[in-house]
Amino acid sequence: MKIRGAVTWLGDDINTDVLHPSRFFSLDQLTVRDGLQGMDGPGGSVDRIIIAGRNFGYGSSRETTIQSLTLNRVRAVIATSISRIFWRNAINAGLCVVELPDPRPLNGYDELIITLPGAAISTPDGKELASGSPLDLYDLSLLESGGILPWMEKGEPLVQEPS
Amino acid sequence: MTLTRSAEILEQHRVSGKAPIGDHIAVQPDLFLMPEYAISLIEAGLDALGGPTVSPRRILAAADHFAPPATIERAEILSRVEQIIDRYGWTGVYRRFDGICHQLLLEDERLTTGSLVVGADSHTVTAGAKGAWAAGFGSHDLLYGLVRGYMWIAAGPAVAIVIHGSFSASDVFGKDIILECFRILGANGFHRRSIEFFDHTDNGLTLDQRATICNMVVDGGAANGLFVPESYEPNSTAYEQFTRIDLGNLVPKLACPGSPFGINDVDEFVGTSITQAYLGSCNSGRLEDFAVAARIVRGRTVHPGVKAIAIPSSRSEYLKALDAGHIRDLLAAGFVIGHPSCGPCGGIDKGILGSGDICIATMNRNFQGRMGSKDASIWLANPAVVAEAAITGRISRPAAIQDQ
Ligand code: SF4
Repeated sequence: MKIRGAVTWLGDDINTDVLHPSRFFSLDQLTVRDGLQGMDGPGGSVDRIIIAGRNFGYGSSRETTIQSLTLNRVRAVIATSISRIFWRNAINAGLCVVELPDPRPLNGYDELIITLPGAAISTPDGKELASGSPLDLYDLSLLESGGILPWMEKGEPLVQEPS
Repeated sequence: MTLTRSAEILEQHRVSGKAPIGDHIAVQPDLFLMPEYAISLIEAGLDALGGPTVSPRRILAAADHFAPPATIERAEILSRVEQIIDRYGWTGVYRRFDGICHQLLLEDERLTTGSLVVGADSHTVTAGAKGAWAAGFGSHDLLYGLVRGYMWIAAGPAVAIVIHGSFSASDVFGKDIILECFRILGANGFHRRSIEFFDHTDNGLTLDQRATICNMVVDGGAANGLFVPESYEPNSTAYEQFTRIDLGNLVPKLACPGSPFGINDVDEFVGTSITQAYLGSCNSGRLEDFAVAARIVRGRTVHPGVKAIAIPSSRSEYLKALDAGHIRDLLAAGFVIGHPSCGPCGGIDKGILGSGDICIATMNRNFQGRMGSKDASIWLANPAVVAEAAITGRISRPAAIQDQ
């Protein structure tokens, strides 16, 4: 499974109140989409990969935070540390998450590709820059299906054990 | 005890015959906690999957964030949620406007030591105060659990914290214990861990103090936090880290604006002026918090430059505080008393901060923008420090608090 996107760098402590304040909680998708803060505006035109530092996604379990990312075409988050609840919510929504202790080798590249299951991170022309912590088989199975609902609909298939 | 208490509870709830998937095992929760906003996100999914199979006896639903709704959309979301609640027969376990879901769960006799609790709100960890394994999840994790009856959960490493001795100052409380844990462990010490507290204090910590402690473990990044049963002795081989906290050394602490890890002593910031003092949220708002605040404000007046707000965490705590005269003392001093709910804590209503506001609060999160404007700042402190600041208009330590 490969995820490709244009890179957006964010710093440390990008928590859910910074990303998507509670006043943007809504059942209306446009309100949720346009509530995303701290990135270069809503409605991105290309697929994106966020690279961030420590404590990404700390805070609320509100899934509207995740929706605001996917609705802005964010397909993956690479960060030094990612909150447990954000991690599970992202996997459930088919949003790839990778913990990478030191994201500095990814500096200077506008576009990256994440290859699962090993979480190898490379440039579009195949130069491997770093690899994040490999994903657990459960997380992989859900991501492969596109999230928890599609995974349930497909009878909860498991991908083979990562090599 | 070779397993940690958290691992032991997970094992006790394991679904037999279900092989693990990677590090995740299938466990059957005893209780599902659902605030109204979380229910609204899974209406379609629940219907599409034929509705929950879990009995309402294992569910606690609550309208506590939109309580009462402050906007048209929230009012409409609440009425939709109440239709879902009717449709799935949860009316008997639905609490409208009775208080914050985590406090209602603490008051619910279904919650016991060893319960496995999953909740669609990050502060579900609060139930660890009664010895439960309790953790927060997103709505669709709860949807899976409600439909299947079990959930896939991976246990993380565990940290033991032995709390001993007794308070040496009269203005030190449970909040200062958890803030001290933040100072000692830091983000890495909490991240995805189970935090297990051993109460070896001289007089025993009250449930209110234990709730304040467990409530905030998630804000450090922990998966769950719980108080182990009295009989359990800390077995250091089971824990990744082992820490002792002597209450005798504790002084009132502050979490400085922006991060829960900016921990300092109140003494270092005495004099900092504030524009709002907020006593409430699921970290606080209980009878003991109101008793402390009332003793400090009785016969005094809220500072003219301060918006002072107190919100009990539940209807029953509110009634107890009323009977004890604490509400009268706070009202007479100039506090606004809000209806039991989340209120300003989640930036929802009943005391939102504007740009330039400086709030000191008994709540659990001081992230930028948490209570409204991202140009406001939030200090976290114990109820005595918050009450004193409401009166003096500045961060300060109250004079010794005599037990009337
Ligand atoms: S009081 Fe605050 S932290 Fe607690 S459930 Fe409500 S919004 Fe969340």
